[in-house]
Amino acid sequence: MKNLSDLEIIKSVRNGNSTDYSIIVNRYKNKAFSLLKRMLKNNMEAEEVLQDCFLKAFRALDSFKGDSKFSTWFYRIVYNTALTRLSQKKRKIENEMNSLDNFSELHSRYDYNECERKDLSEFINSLVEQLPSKYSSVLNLFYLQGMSCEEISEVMDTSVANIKVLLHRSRNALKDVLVKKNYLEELS
Amino acid sequence: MIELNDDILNKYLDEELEQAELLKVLELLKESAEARNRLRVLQAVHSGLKEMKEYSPSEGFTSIIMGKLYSKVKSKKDQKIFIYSVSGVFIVLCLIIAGIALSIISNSVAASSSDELNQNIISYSEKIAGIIRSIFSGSGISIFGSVLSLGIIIFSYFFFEFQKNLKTKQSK
Repeated sequence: MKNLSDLEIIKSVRNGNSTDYSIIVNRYKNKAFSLLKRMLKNNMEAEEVLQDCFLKAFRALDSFKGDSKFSTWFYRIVYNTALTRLSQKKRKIENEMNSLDNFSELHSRYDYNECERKDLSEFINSLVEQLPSKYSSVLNLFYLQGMSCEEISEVMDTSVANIKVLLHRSRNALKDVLVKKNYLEELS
Repeated sequence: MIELNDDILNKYLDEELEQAELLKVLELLKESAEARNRLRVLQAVHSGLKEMKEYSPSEGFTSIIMGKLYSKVKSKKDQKIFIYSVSGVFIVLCLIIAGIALSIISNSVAASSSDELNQNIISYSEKIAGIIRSIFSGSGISIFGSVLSLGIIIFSYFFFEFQKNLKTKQSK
């Protein structure tokens, strides 16, 4: 049963086997939670929003026509619900999401200089947590969910070119932090 | 002339450069140690991001979702049953009244000719109109109002109780 495709499971749920929806929940809960946690920067809130997203998706299953992948459709719900939550909390999304100016001043709870080389991914991970929502979302969708720029543009409802710009800027910002931390010296 | 800026290096990393551009970039990378260093850091970021952490929600998350879904589906069913049963009672009452009226008319048809039938229908209509008039005039209106209010109160009470039970079930 777990090897069934998303479309097959959805068909079964639509036919009245609502318990099959648990396969979809198990399949997407971790990845969607990771995205929400990086956007909302709060575990409890991320879990609460994730519950809403799964319930919303269940209610809207009839409107899913299968034009795009189920994952793209579902992550779009997740992304938009997270944005709504952020706006409800009056977090000044525009300022927060469009600026990477202060990122060079970011610090990680892991001091890279004190870490061994193998901890680089841990260090980068802790920096991603602090990125503005828009940037951390793009990185999350690209690297963790393995989505293409085209699919991410569908999720975030923006152009492919814009997604590439966000992706490059995020990487450059992380690169600049590593350069500041003298990662270059360690490489040579 | 290609400049080895971060944008080009990112494109190189994503394998988005065309063949001619790629050859030029490789050539420039051979010449510039500074660009090679920038690329190495960028590659380190790229491989670090590939190992991005995946987080999990709390244990029992799936059961919570499925529980909520189940109670929603059930409450919708319960609501439908309630509405169907209330409207069922109403329809049965209407059918009983219509049945009684039909039986009276059919009895009178059996007992009289067509002229008498017309007169009977007229007299029954007058009687019904008279009953309605008496209901909406004088003390009749207050009795009718009281009965109607009582009916509404009884219906509202059961409807309120039903909704309260549904909400309690859902919150559980």
